[in-house]
Amino acid sequence: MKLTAENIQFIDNYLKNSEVIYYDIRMEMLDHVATAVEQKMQSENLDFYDAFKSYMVVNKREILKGNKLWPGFSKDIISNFLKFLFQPIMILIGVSIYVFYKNVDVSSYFSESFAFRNLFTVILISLALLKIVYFRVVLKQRFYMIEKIFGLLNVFYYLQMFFLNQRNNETPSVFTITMFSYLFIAYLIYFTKQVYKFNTYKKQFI
Amino acid sequence: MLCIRKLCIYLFSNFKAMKNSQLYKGSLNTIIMKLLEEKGRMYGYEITQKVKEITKGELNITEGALYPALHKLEAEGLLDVEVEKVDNRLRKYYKLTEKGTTETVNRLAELEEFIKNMQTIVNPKWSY
Repeated sequence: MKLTAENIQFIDNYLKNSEVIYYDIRMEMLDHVATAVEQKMQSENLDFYDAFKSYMVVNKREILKGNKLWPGFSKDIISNFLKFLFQPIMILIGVSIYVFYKNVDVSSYFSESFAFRNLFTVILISLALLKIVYFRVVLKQRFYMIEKIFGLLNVFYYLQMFFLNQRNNETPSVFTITMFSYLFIAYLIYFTKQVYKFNTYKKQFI
Repeated sequence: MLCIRKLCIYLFSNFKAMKNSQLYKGSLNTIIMKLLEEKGRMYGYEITQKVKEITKGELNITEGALYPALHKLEAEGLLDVEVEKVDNRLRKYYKLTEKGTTETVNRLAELEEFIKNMQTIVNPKWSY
């Protein structure tokens, strides 16, 4: 027994109201619930609403466990990013950045009022704004697959708080500047790669 | 009488919990990968039903355990995803990547070794 478009819409609305905010996760849950309801309708000879109700009473908690409300720190993405950082080409970029900072005194290009630490804060805020624009204007839907990448910005934020103390007026060391420049450059490359992958994935969804 | 009833409920609930215990949790990824190796590609609900069918209802993979495991394997690059429109909705199929196929062989060998060792420990052949 197949569900109608209205039945599917009903399940989708139910999941939306249960705060399943990510489109990709909701689509997968919807298919799972719809298939289970179809089987229940057939095996127990129930109508859609009775089958749906009896299925959700038992399984709602388990189904909604897969709902990720906040992709703050995704272990998978952090470990993937770390692996990416240690790829030979990325290490080469890192070494080049270090050699550059070691030989060129870039701190003289910045005024005392606008030190390096502020530059990294500005980059961090810009990336966070980019995230908002990308989701609200470009995608118009929230996808967990891509949104979890922005969780890395939280990690950068705390690293910056630790290494670039705002109260300390000393110029950060070459190693610290290299580390943050490397992290941001690597993040942009990683993000671009993931967006490229995501676009193929998105085409299948929309 | 009431005590026996309570005991039965307790035993039954513990028996049920045993079927989904830590022993299975550690092997969930390998179970998924083995199924995908055999079937080519599968979607979430199909995996839960297939496991239920193979184990004659003994093992029940819950949705709360299955989907995070699938997403983790996908993030690790072991699974690939295909989305298709089926009966007014989108269905996400999972299949093993090349890396995933190699990893399945390794994990199955590891699991077989583990089972063998456990059997030796549980049923030791004492020699006097």
